[in-house]
Amino acid sequence: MSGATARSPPVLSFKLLTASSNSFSPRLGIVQLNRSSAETIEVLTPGLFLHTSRGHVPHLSGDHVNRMAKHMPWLHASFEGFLETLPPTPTLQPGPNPLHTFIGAPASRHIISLSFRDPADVRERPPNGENYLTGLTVRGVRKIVPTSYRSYISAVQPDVVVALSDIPFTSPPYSQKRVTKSMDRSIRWLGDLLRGTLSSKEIEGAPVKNVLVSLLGGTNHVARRIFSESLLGPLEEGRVLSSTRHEKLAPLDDRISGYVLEMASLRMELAVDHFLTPASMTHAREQVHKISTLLQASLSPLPMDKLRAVHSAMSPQEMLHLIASCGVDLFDSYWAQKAADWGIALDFSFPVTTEEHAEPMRRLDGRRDVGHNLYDSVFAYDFRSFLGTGTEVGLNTGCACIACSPSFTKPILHGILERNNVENLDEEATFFTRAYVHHLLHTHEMSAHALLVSHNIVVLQEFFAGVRSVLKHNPQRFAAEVARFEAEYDGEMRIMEEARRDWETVDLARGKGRLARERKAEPGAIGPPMGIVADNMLGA
Amino acid sequence: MQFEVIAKCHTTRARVSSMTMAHGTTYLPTFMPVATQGALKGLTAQQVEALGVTLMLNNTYHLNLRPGTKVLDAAGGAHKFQGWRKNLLTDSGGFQMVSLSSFTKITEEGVLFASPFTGEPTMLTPEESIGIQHSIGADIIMQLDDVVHSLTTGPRVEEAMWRSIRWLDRCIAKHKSSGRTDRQNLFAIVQGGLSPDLRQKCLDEMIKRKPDLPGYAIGGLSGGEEKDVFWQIVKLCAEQLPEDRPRYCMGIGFAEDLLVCVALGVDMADCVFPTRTARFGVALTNDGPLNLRLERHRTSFFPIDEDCPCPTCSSGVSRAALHDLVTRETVAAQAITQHNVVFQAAVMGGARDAIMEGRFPQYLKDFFRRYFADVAYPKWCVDALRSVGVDILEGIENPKVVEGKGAKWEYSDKAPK
Repeated sequence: MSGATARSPPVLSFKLLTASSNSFSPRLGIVQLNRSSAETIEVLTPGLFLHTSRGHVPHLSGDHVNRMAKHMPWLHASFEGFLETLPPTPTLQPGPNPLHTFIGAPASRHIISLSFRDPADVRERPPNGENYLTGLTVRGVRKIVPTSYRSYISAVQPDVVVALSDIPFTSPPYSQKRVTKSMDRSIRWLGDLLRGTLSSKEIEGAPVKNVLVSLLGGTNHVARRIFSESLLGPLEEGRVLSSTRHEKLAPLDDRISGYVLEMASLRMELAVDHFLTPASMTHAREQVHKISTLLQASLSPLPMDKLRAVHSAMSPQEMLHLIASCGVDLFDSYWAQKAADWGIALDFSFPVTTEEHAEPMRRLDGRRDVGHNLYDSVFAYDFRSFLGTGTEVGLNTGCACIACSPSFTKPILHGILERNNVENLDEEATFFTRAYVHHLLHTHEMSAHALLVSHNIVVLQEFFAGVRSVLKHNPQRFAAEVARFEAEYDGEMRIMEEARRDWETVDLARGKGRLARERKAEPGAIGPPMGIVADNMLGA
Repeated sequence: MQFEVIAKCHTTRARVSSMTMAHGTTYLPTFMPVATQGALKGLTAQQVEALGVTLMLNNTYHLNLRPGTKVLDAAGGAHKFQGWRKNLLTDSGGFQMVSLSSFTKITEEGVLFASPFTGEPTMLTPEESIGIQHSIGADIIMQLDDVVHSLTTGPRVEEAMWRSIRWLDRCIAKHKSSGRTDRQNLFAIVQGGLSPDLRQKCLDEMIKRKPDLPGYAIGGLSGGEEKDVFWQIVKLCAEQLPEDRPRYCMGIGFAEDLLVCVALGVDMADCVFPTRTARFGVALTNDGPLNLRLERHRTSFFPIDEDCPCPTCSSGVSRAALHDLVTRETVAAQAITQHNVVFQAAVMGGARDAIMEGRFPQYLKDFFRRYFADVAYPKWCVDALRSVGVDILEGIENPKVVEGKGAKWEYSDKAPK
């Protein structure tokens, strides 16, 4: 083993900036990752980390990631997809910061965390075993044992590691026995990871640093509490200790940097508990309330100064609720990215602005959507920016994304003559309009999603900036502002389902004869008006 | 349009020129990427400009269906609609009517086709095509021509040729009456199939209309005809087209086709090939196309081309990383599309510099040697370039030469049996 070239691993730290009155109150904090004294990446909390697919924010090209780096300092990747080929390709990447290099996200600008599973993927999979987890790849199911996970980690060197945990993805509900087994395995695997030595004792290595742990126990409050208490158990459990050493046994938790709540799997379980499928679970507020009491059960035995991260919250209301009731620090961007996939340009802010907004339009129940479903034909002639500013060139659109504030960069020169060309790099680029993206969505052009995902990430970052600002300057107003937000915006996120259906329609409709089918389904939406009633409307 | 020939190759018919229109100067010869529906696949207008593209295509047929002329008029044209501030070219829509529509009938009035909206017979006349292109507002617009498949033979070819000339007159009349001749430049399309005789007649007629035509295109090729016939038709047309007008060869995009056409006197070309092939994981290089889906690229932790200035290569994205993403994540399509567009532009930019510096014949030799030497030189390229005084086999010992298309492709990583 050549230790000569090994760089010291980066140090992840988390500091609370507000003195919290209790373990669950909303709080301000700062995450710092120090690679060396010169290189520090910061994430203010409550804040955002980015959900990725194979390390990439879907639809965001490398040059756009580069431009948006300050809006996406923390990327979260999952490893299971890479198991498609063995050894997994990223583990073969030479040079320092292999995972950063492979993904193309410079280590100077991005924190990369890694989990084994994609936390948003709740597809059913074969059961895990006593000493392995099952992962899904495009070429089928793969098993992974904890020793391989550790060796992959040491090969790709993520900044932050989520420990393996045995969350079942067979059909719920799960028996008490299954839940107990899940917790036992996860604790055992965690101990192995943190100690740097494994019970199998053939393999030794440096302890893994910057570890986050998924809080387990399913939908049972008692089980969740027991799991958290076991994190406070001794690190050296099960090992023979030298009789000359008398120091107090360090708990596992001392080497844990923070906790993770995976909402997607919990939602599945809750749905079964209530004989509902997640899609028909219409009372989002009730659901997030249940989740927050479960998270409180998990957090109650644990020290309050560690990072609390949540995967797969599905609305800003859920995020606010978990900040307010559980002091959650970090959320992934999954729902906002999904919204971009489905053609939604987000348009909401926290705190709710006082002037009377015309948009997004109010629904019949008086609530507004958190964005615009740009598939909707009302946008065909809407030449405003996503946030509704007019067409004047140079107008501040109020958003720094590549759609609302595009800018020119110096073009590549392909010949000596082009040096004579005077480029107006300072010229203001005009923002992309709702009408243009409406067109791109209906023509199935990928550029639509590139523009939308960039926008949605910036809007979500601004949302968190708003949350932090209230917590900093007006903490006593926070609960009232959350209530105002909930009264203003549709927490059921009906727009997501509507846009998803529109997206599906365009996706399925591609190919020969598509326009004729669309014309039939939706008179007046495309082409010259015909004044005919479509068959399906008569039949409906 | 201001068109000026800046330099000419001392040996071949290649030339360098500048073409200045309402949205800036484009140096020729150039390759034009195709943004069919108002977006170059997955990219924004600013990204395309950053690649060094100063002229790209939109397709009239597609933009007329969506978003339609009413939206384009309301947006103030396709430039504003898609945020593109450089030059734009639109085709006439005729080609897609014939290739995409379920039934199409050509009459003297125009192209009768099944409306994709209603299935009802709908007519696209030369006047309407120009009208749609006025709504789009491209800097270069194309006449509606009577397109026949390039393999068609018999009287239909001659009929189409004459009809294209009559339709050209109607397009000219419509365009002149619009008062937009200062902003939009109408190009004629030379037809006549694979017959030198018909091509000659068409050239004679269209050249007569030169005062109303800022440029000319060579149409009706790239439809699967023999490459030997292809280059001879291109040569015939390019030789006769007026010196002081840009010459656009429609639908070509392979690097070897581009360079042969440039040597024969062509200034502009377009093709969906570089951007389409990118989405399937094929990266274009000076050593030939790389099919990044192949297993052999899985552990190649180096860029497509170390020397390439594109955003993908210059940021160090490896072939292995692209192999991992191709056909799964749109970011791979974007990354390879950016690379391929830059590759095409670099081949043409390199040709421009070589022509200006009097070393174009050597540029051709170097390019073909690197691109084909490990496999075989396409015979048609050798013949075409010999016809303009360049022997790309000169100095090559025992060169391998292949009949047919000879296009290079990276098929499989299985060792040949």
